[in-house]
Amino acid sequence: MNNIINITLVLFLCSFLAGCSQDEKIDGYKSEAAALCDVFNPKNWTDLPKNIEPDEIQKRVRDKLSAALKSDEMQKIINAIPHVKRDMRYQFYVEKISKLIHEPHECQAMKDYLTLQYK
Amino acid sequence: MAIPVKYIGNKYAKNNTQQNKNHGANPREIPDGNLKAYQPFNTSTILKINYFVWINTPVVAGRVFTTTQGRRLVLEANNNRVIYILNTQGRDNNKLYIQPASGFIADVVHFPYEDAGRKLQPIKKLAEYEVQLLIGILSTTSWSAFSLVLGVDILEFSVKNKDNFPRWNRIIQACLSTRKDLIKYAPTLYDKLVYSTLLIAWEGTTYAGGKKGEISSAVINAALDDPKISGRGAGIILGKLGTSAADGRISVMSAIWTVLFTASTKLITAIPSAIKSTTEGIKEASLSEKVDIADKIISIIRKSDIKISKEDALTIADEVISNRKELTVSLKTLSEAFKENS
Repeated sequence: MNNIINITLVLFLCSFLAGCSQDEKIDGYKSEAAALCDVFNPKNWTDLPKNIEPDEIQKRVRDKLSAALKSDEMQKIINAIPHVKRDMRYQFYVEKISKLIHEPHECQAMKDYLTLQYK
Repeated sequence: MAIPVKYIGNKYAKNNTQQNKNHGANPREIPDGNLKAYQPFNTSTILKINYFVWINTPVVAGRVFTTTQGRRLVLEANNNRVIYILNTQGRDNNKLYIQPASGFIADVVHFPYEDAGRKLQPIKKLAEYEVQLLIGILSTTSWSAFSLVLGVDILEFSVKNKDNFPRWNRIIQACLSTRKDLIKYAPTLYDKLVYSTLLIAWEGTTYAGGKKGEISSAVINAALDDPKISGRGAGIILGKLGTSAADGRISVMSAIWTVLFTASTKLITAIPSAIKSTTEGIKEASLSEKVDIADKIISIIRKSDIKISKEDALTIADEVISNRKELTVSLKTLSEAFKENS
């Protein structure tokens, strides 16, 4: 009888811990998504020199994205974006991130960047 | 890193190959037969990418951009379209593409996503005259033959020939800047060595500018001031002759210029005074000098594809000796420009 109680307690504890760990993971993804969104906030690009070369911008965007990325899951989503149809890249990003963080996600700055046009 | 279509999902997946795209903002390959329809490329226009509202960065001829398909060397860019050479590891390497500006921008600005968390390869930027040189080569040949002319990958070619590009450019400028004097004082030399060996390849092309395909004086003057134009001329010549044949001719000509420049600086006082004391003596010394120079020219060109008869070689020697003073500067210019590592 005692054994059954012990096993039940251990299982309960495990599932509780697993739940906690899952929540922590999701919280981690949420902060990561917020950091990724922040990469494209124009306020973070005010120090760009006016005459910057396109390849230098590519490098800076890459570096900021790399710094914001913490998990393999998030990196997989970000790395996949250029392989998505051009007009559906933001939609793809929203769908994947929302699924990962278990809640709807939007990022206007990311949307603006992914729909950049020429002047 | 390959991203599986399964992960992206059919709804979002695009076909990554560059071919078979005749719609939307995708790149479309320019087939060999259609190349002329896009030439001459307008390398002076710019497409600006509007980053973060206040930053406009230029897409112009000569810039290399990295995208998921590989590196793209831009030949022409404006608000409607971009024409570029794709440099990749795959089967699409060295092919020429045209893409709507919007698609090109998306491919460039979204590339950092692909690369986030990985190392980025340094991007090479070509000097303007290097682009013009490549365009010059391209104007002389079909696209598929272009790769054969280069012998290697286009970016590899420009890296490999980093030192040759300025040299080729210098050679063309030297040929053009000495042209007037050579025609006046040494017409056979100009015709047989400068014109028939190199400049003839430039004539008859879209970029020559003159009537009947001759290189117009406007083009010559512009080339002397602007390395982009002489770069294009050098490209046309390299394209028509092939890089190794052109290199062969250049090294033969280099040796000939050295002989002629030495002859032009040799003072008449160097002739022994006993001989110099009579007019006949001078004539004899002069004749033997001419024969000596002609023999040297013939000996230098023997193993090359340059055609100069013994008679022409004698005439060239005569022109140089008779107009030593007038030709010294031109021959020095040519001799220095053709030298390797100058």
